[in-house]
Amino acid sequence: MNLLRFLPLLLLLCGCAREVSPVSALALDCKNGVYCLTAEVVRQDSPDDTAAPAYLSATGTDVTDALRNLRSILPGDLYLSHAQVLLLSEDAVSESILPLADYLCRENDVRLSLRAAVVRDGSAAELLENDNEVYALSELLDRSAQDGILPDMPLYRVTDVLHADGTAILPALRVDAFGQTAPAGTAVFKNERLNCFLDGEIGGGAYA
Amino acid sequence: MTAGRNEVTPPYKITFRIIFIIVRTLTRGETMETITFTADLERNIRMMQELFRNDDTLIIRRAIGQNGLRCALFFFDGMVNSLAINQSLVRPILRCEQPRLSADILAAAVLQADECRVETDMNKVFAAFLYGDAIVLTDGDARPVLVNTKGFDKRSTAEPENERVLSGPREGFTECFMPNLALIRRRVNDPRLKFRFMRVGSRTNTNVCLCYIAGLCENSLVERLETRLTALDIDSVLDSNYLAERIRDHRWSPFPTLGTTERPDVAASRMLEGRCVIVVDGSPVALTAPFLFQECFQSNDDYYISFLQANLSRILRVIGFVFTITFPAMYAALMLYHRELVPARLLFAVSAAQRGVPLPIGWEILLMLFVLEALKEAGARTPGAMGQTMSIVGGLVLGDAAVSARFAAAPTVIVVAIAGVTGLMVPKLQTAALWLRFVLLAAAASWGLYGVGLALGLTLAALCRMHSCSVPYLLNLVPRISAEHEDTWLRYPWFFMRCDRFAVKRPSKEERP
Amino acid sequence: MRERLFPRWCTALFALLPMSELLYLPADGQSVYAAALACTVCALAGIGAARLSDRIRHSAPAQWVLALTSLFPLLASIARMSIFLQKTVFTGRSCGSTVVLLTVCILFMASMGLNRCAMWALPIAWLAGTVLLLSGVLTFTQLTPASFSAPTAALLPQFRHILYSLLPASVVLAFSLPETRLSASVSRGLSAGGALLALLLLRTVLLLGANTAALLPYPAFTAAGLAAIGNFARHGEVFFAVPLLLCEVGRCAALVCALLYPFTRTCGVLHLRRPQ
Repeated sequence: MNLLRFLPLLLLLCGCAREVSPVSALALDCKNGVYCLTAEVVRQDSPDDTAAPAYLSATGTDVTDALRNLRSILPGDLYLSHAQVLLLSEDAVSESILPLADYLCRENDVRLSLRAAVVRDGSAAELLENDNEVYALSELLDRSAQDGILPDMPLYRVTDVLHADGTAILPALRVDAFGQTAPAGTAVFKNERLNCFLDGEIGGGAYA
Repeated sequence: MTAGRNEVTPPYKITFRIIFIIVRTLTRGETMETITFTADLERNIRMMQELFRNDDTLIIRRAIGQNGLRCALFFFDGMVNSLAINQSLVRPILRCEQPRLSADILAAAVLQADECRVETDMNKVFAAFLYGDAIVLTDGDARPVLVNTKGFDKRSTAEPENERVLSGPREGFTECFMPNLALIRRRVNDPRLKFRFMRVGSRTNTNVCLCYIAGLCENSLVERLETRLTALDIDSVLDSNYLAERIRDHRWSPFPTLGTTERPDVAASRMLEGRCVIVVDGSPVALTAPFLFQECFQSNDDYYISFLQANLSRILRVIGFVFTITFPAMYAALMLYHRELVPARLLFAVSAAQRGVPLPIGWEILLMLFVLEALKEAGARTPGAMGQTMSIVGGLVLGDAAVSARFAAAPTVIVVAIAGVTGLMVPKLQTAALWLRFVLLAAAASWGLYGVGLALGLTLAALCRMHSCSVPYLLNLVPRISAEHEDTWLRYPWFFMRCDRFAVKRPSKEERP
Repeated sequence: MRERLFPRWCTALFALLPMSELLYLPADGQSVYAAALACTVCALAGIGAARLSDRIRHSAPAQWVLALTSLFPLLASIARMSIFLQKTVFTGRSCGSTVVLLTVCILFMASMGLNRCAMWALPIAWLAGTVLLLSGVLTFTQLTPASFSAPTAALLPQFRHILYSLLPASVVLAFSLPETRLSASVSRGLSAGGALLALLLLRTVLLLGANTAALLPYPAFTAAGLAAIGNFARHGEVFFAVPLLLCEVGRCAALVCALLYPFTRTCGVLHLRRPQ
């Protein structure tokens, strides 16, 4: 009888293991009011291999919709806890980014230390797929922030300043002439929208 | 700590206990079959032959003195020292010129033994006789003379396998009762060292000795242990564990509430700390009470090597214990519920290793833990070097094969191996570690780190409830006694330490030497 | 062993009360002052209640009132713990399962009696304090002092909110103490726990900023996720939450002891079966 008492313990051992699709970075583009979310999903088939990225995209009317659609095409659960970078195209930040920031802050899985960056002169998805190495973008942003080349603005700080007065700065990236991802100054937000870049270039008439 | 000293047993409980002991003693009957001797020697011999019929080890030696003194010697072959029988008993009787002697004169003036007395209590006579003493009967006197002739073979006092030290004394207890007590006496040359004997086991009638130092040990502790030992109603005691499981507090707890040692120096040190030691005849393992949780992390070595090294070892043991119980559970919790805590690249590698393994992580770890325990058990039961070889080869080959066959993931094997190795650092808590490992694993698999935290909290609660002989089990953790902080979780250097400052009970001013 | 509640244990038990509030409090510039003020008021009320505990112990109606009063903070604690677990980690599970788990744990601990609960609280208070301070130290470099704000009248609603959840538990437990001389320990415990609570709230505000913190259901919990040791334990809120959850389980167990006092009439171990 005493042994029977331990049976429930054994049943508990099943746990709730689930297959996940870990995402290391996200890119958000917007064209004609349709949002396109691209995820850099990490694949590693054996412990000896190196982690390789795979890119999956989904569209939606807003970020939530795009995320829902992305979830449906992934083999496992969308796992954002290890996502470290969110790339935003210039089109995507032409409207207020506050709802996006709020949504990400409230999302349980997303790290508050997630770094957002604005992509200049091109789509965010292209820049994401430019580096074929997992966490290369994150390391670039970290290094640039340490060197003072780019601003150090994790998600929680951006959200706070956006809520305070609607102004914020974010690091900007671009694909340079050699086809490499490179820092491209600072994106300045006013009224929760992209206003200009700090290297002097105004972000188009639409942002003025 | 005021605990224990302040406990007052209600009078009705004492009365009930006394009545219970008296009734049990009266209804239990004789502890062994005995006879009553008469003045007729031949009749006594016949009675002894009848009593020990079919026991060929009984030797009856008739001896007749020079002028017709007729005596008979009874002893067991193999239990006595033959030289002592010949020179101390047989030769003096054969040379005796008296035609008739009383038992008193025989014991006082003829027999040449160190311990020689006339004993009328037949229970005592037969208990001693069965334990290697010789009975001498003389014609015309019904009273037997009991002579100490014990001389059975015994193991040497070699260092115990389970309590090896790097430096320090290497003597260990053996299965022989009196030599064990002598080993303790040799270390504590104090008239206040007390040995209280009692017999336990209605069939084995085993000698049990309660050892303590008067003044250092609380009287209530001695009385409590004595009451527990005398109240035991058992047939046989073949090892100290027969008693330990019966007299300990919290019998169902995997945490030990009675200490064990095979070393006389440890037994002596425990007594110097105000504890009682119980030595059982036939067992090389002595019991110590009370036993505190902190003692699980203390080793004999700690007192014989540099305090710096000793304290580092103690800290390592505590960490080792925490590791051995939590490591498999933490791994399961992290991989099932809290993947975000694992560094990204490590997570990808572990997930890749885990892919293709048929069992859920909880079951996989459970299976590997079972294999580990099986290997340990097989290694322990297999003789000598073969056991070691089997453990190593079994571990390596099975682990590698399990990983290659995708039966278990490599990280799981590593986690279980670490849990197994660290578990060996605290041998006194191996049972507790084994159970806790499984319980925490189940908690982790079902409730993640929250489950582990709650399970550890409840374990701490269970420890808070526990006591050993009325002393709180967690003494020096909670409650903390600042005056006695010299040998608890850390050991102070000897030049800071006074013996009575690390006692379980600090002697009062009146009791101090 | 003589059953006794030592002052140090009592201090630890009362220190758990403010600490167990930390997970659920909103964090803004005023919450720091509100928490400090509420803990001071609770400490003063606790001293008074502890001094009156002798009279309460000898009055059966008062004991019943106390037992019924303890139900409110007890049920509130279990409910908020369950909701917290369901919202943060066990999103797929029903609240009922967490309620059952927590209730079983609380009842097991309550069977130790108030004295042993307080004994248990001592190592838990040290553990929780150490983890909380460590978490604070690890995020120290990320703090932005600009988020600091001076006290204003806006702290009053928050003060009331903290007082509602902290005062009943403090007063009930202070009334349940076996000795009046423990009143100093009550104030010491509540003050120490309150200081830690205020510090951690301050850390949350300075780290996340008042605006981000306002978005989050459990700001102190989320802020702790930013503490990391190198690349390890990033997003390690759970290490922060587990000791706090233990604090709350201890607080609930002590409240159950107060609830059961009219039946058991002891602060010692409640024997569920006949002692051997």
